[in-house]
Amino acid sequence: MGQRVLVVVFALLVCLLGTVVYGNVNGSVEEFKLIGNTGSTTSNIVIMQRESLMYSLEVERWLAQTSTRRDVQIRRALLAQRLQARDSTGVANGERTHPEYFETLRQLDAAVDTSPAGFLPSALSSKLRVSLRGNLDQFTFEARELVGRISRAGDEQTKEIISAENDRRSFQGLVVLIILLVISLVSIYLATSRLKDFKVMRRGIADERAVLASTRGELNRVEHALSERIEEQKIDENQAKHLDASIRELNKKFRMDREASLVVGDLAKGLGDALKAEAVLFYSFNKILAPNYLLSGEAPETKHLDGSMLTRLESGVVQLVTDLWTKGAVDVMDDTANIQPDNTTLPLLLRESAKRVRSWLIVPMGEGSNVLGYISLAMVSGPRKWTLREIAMVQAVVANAATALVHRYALAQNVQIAEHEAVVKRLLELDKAKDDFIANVNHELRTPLTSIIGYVEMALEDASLESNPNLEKSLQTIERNAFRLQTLIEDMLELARLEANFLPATLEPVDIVNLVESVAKLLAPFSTGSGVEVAVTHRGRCFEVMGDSGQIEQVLTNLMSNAVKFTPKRGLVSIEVSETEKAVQITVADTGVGIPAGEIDSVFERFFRASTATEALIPGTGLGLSIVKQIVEGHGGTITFVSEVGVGTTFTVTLPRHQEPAPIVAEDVVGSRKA
Amino acid sequence: MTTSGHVNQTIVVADDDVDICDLVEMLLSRLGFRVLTAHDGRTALSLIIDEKPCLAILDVMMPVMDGFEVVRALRSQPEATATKIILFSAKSRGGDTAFMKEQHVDDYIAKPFSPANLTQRVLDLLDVEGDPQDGGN
Repeated sequence: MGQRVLVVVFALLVCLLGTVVYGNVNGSVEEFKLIGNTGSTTSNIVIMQRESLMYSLEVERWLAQTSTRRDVQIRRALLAQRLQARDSTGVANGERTHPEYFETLRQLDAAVDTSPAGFLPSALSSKLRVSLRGNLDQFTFEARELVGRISRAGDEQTKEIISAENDRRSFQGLVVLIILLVISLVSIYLATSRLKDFKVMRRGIADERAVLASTRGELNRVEHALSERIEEQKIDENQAKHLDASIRELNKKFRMDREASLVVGDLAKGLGDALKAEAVLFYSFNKILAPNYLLSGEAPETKHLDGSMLTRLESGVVQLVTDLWTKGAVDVMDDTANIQPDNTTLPLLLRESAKRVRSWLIVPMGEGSNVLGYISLAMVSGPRKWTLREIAMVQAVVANAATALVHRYALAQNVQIAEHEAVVKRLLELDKAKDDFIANVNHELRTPLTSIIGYVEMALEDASLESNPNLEKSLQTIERNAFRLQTLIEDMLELARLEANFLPATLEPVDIVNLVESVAKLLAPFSTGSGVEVAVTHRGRCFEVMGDSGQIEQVLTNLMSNAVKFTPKRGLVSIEVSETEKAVQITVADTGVGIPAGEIDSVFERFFRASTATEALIPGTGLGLSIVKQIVEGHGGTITFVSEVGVGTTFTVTLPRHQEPAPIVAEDVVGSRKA
Repeated sequence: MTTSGHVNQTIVVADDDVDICDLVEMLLSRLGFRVLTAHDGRTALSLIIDEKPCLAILDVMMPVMDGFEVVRALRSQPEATATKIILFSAKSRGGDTAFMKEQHVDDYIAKPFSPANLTQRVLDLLDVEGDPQDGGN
């Protein structure tokens, strides 16, 4: 841009210079014309005067020399010829010649013509010479005057012109000088800027030349690499068939029904054979899926990679292999000779390996996001180039092996699950058989007992017994023991049933106070007969719990009948029902025989009977409290007791309150109960 | 106890255990009922349909047809609706009460039972129906 402006400026200056120079030349021509014209007039006069003068002098000389007419005639002819000649301005010489001169000539001619001898008389000659001289003198004076005047006038005019001309020329010269200077400066500037451009250009060229050189180098390298690659490819192609065949064979072995150790062994051996690796190491991070480690190959130098060392290095190796697995990469070392001695970034395992092994290929093994381990192929005798095809192949094989291992594990898990399921099924069948057995025993035991009790009772009604007290006593004994047997059967079956399924059979709102009162009513004949007072009190408003009313009734029956049973005459059994925020609490307190402190831990054991009870010959099966505990806990409740021998025992049962229904429903329940 | 108050009333007793069947028969005969016995469910059902007794006392576990099946068959026969039914069973202690209600059985007595309790409940059941000849107690 700047350059373009400069070029335009330069062109303009050249134009200006041209204009000035042309104007100068033009002006000069005009001036010269003017001067020429003036000069011509002046010089013509001067020439004319000088011609005349010259001619007069010639004539005078001629007169002095002339001797014959013929000479005179010749000279006159010549003179006439000369006088008739015209100058550049078209004026004849004769016209400019002084008139006196011509008069003299005429006289001369006449004298010569009249002379008989043809010689000019000396008298005449002298006379003529004198007159001529006079003419000449006058003429010369006039001429001198004229010339002087003209030359003076001419000098002044010339001086003026020259001065003006000089002024003009000096101004023009200055302008031209300035223009030339500016042109020079512009030229210099342009030249320097061009020079700068040139330098830049030259540097650019140098750079490009360098780039070109490096590109050429790169190209060479790439070409080299390419040719190597092509070579490699050729070798690959040759190996490909062999490899593919080996791999196909190998992959066939990775079935999920094979033992993990066999899969791993095949993997290591197969890869070692296919790739002609001198040592193959398999290492598993997952001891469940596969054997810990396996070293295949003959190279003794690799024996340092034993299990203990691997275990020692495992954390670092796990990190290395996990990184590889995450990136989908492998660790390739063609030649350990290329490792820089100060390379500390190499993981410890690899540094250890580098001491003995020349070349390796480490491929991580995994499934999904889980890294299972790795397989490492190593060369000891020398370096080895691991080709991309080989690496890809190893990766593919390792992936297949991993899948096989994982599937095998999953299969094993499934087998285990199936086994567990079979066990559970068998247990359920056994449970069912037990239930059936219980139901059977239940029926089979009760049926004969029904007959025994029924017939004994009927027999005892017979009036004839009054005459046979022994028979009556026998029948009563049978009846009492039948009842005992019945109780024992009931308790045993109930306990067995609870153990099979101790959870409540049904869940319904159960009002504890109602239940306590009805049980107390049922027990009334028995307690009255024993002379024991039963008192039921309750504090609170809502005594509903969620549960199986039959089971809870049994809890209350067992606790309350026990209390009555173990309480001597005139004793007191007091049952209190109270509510807490989240539970309904039932305390059954008696003034009975009590339980010795040493036996407290055994109270809820099956068939346990307190020594105080056996000593007092109080009958029982030792199953009642065990049943109570099972039911209470099955309902999410608790049972505790305090006891003192000779003072009495207090059982406290807590059952979670029924809080399920909304208040309106609860009111409805209360209302219906009142109704 | 009276021995003649219920001669016109027939009761069918069915139990595969002959001893129990005999026991119940003896107990109720003493009260003056006409007692017919069966040892399997199908015979019991035929007896009930033929004789239209005022009451049938059925054991639950019986061969051929069990007590429940007999009840279901009876309840589907309009002519047998007048017959009251008491189930008794050694199967469990008061466990089938819900079923009893569902099946519209009138009472349920668990084995082993007390003869006095059985007769009392039979009489109660029949007396509720307004039997004018109350021979109970």
